[in-house]
Amino acid sequence: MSRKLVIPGELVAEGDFKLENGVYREDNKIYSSVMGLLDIRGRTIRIIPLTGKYVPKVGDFVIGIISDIEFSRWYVDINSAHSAVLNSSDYFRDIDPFQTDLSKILSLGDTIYAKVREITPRKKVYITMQEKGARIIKKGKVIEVTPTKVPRIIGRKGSMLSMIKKKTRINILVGQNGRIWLDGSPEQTDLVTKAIEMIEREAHTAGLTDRVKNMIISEREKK
Amino acid sequence: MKVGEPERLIIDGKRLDGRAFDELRPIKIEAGVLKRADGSAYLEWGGNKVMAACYGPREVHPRHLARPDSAILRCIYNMAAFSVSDRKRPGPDRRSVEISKVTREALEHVVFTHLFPRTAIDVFIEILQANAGTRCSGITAASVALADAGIPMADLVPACAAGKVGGEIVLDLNDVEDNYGEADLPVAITPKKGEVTLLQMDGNFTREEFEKAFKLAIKGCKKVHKIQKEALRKKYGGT
Amino acid sequence: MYDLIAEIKRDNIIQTLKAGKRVDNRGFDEYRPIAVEVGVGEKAEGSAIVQIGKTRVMAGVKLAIGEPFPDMPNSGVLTTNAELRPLASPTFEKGPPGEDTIELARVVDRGIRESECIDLEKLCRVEGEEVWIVFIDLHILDYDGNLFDACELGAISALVDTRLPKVEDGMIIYKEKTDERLPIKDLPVETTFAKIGDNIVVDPILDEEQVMDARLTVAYTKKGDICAMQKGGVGTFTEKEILEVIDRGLEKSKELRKHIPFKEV
Repeated sequence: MSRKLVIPGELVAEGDFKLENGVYREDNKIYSSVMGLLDIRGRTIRIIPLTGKYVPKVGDFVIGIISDIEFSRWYVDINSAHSAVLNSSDYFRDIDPFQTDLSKILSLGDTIYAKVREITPRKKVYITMQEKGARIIKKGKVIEVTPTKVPRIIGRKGSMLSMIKKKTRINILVGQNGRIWLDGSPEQTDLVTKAIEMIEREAHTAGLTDRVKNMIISEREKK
Repeated sequence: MKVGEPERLIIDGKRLDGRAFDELRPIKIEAGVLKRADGSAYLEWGGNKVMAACYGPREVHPRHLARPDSAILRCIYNMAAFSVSDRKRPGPDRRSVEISKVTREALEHVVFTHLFPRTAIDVFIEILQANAGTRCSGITAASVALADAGIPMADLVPACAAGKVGGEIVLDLNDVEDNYGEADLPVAITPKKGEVTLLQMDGNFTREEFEKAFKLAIKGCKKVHKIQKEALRKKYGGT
Repeated sequence: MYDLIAEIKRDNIIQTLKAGKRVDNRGFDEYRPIAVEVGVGEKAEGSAIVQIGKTRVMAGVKLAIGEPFPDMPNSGVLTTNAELRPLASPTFEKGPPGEDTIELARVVDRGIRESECIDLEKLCRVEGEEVWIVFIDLHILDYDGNLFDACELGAISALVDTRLPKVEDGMIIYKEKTDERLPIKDLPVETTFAKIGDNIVVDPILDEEQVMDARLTVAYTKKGDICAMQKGGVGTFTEKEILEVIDRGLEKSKELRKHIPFKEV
């Protein structure tokens, strides 16, 4: 199904709709507010953005970098408009900030894979490590892609990602914030980087999974 | 009479560069041309060459500048030293400070700043080559850069000037017309609702001439809007 | 720091306007009382203090002899500068001029320059070598809104008040003023309207400026032509509103011009 490309200020619908991201209403008319693809399902309307900073959602896993340390919390750069907060109690439940030097646990520049726990109405973002799958990342390589392309890299029901993992036998963690962690040999890492760049470049085209698969196979045969 | 002033600016109902009174100079816009910026646009408009970049929303430094309830929009308009015949001394001067201010005011109305409290959205406009109409070029390019950065906004903001040259009301003055013409009127609008977000004027208009020039400038803005939309469609692979 | 405006103040101003009134009981097209006094600074070649309501501005004109711009070898030089002194408002800070100050000076300058109110060619002494340089300096003393109109009125009044100093062997003797005046050809004035909600009012006081959506300043020549315009603020005007402001401003400009102490020779 091809979705219509829209530009900020474009009229996308009229009448009674439930508005989600990327649209706004003036009287009875509904307009897009971002560059993206128009997505109307029943009476619900939204724009799938094609560009823009990562907008955190509760439940997202993100790859973050420790950017500041305070008495009982870390600030974490998550490639978004705001830094996220990691409270010490979201690391170990029974941490005692009076007894613990937090920088001994996570210091400036450390990389973590954490889950978005809460977003306040004032847009403060809290992340947590108290979650299955959350971890500190100590080795490997993190690459960055446009956050709006992450769903394409994962693929429908994870199809793209599992294909890449199967064909290259490499550890991959995808942060919804556009950061992707790769852990494998230099050759494997390079090949996956190429595949991801290809997905990012051709995200809007059909039959992409097969083309990426063919690219990986032919690259491996070269060696 | 000033040095270098041509004898006439209008000959046989045509302008010196051959344009009709209501004709724009050629305009070319390309969206998303810079790697590091969150959004960008390159624009050529007659002899103007302009690069615009948008960063953000991002955290505000210094922090006391942040607004607890919305993003702040910051605009810097800057002319490269080599953009004009007589080398311009680098750095902000009074003219560029004023243009930065009116540029911000022209753009801020459409940006949904309330979605990003405590952040900054930064817009940088570099004039690489100047040939009259740089503020309109800058606003037009910056608006495309904001859209390319995925900043939510109510509309694009195209800008265009009209003026009086050799007694005639004309669209989009070039540098000879700007230097030796009688009046210049830069305008920016929100095309959807027709709100005026930039309006400046210097020179001399009668009331009737002003109205005619104003309406012509708005027509020009609408043409520029089409070119902005084409640039964004092209970048994002739409038809 | 951004301006923090109490919501109650905003509501009060807008509700009052909706009822067809203003918070200081003026009409929508009514200026506050205006007073212009010239000759208020002996060291300046020309000077004026302008009051519009509680807004007070002092303007001074100083003259110097210097070189013309290369592209205008037979023309005098005009420069306009404004200073928002910290004594005039708790929000003005010391240090280099901010964007508001620069905008103010440049808009006043545009009104003076584009109206061609001074015959700059008559200020040429030796073509390409020696011309009069006219410095207009605007000192804001008390800020209760509408600096644009007060400064423009101050600038033109000080220009009208100016007397050229004596010159001997190319040196200015500032202590001795001659009876010669600047060659004044026109008397430009600026009128400023503020859009607040759906209403547009002339000569906004500070409270109104703090809550306004947008501002439009228009400069008029004696003939009623428009010689400079500047929209300010994040809000917008419609096409119709702009044309309306121009017509309303023209009427007000005639009133303002009467305050310029100019005697036709």
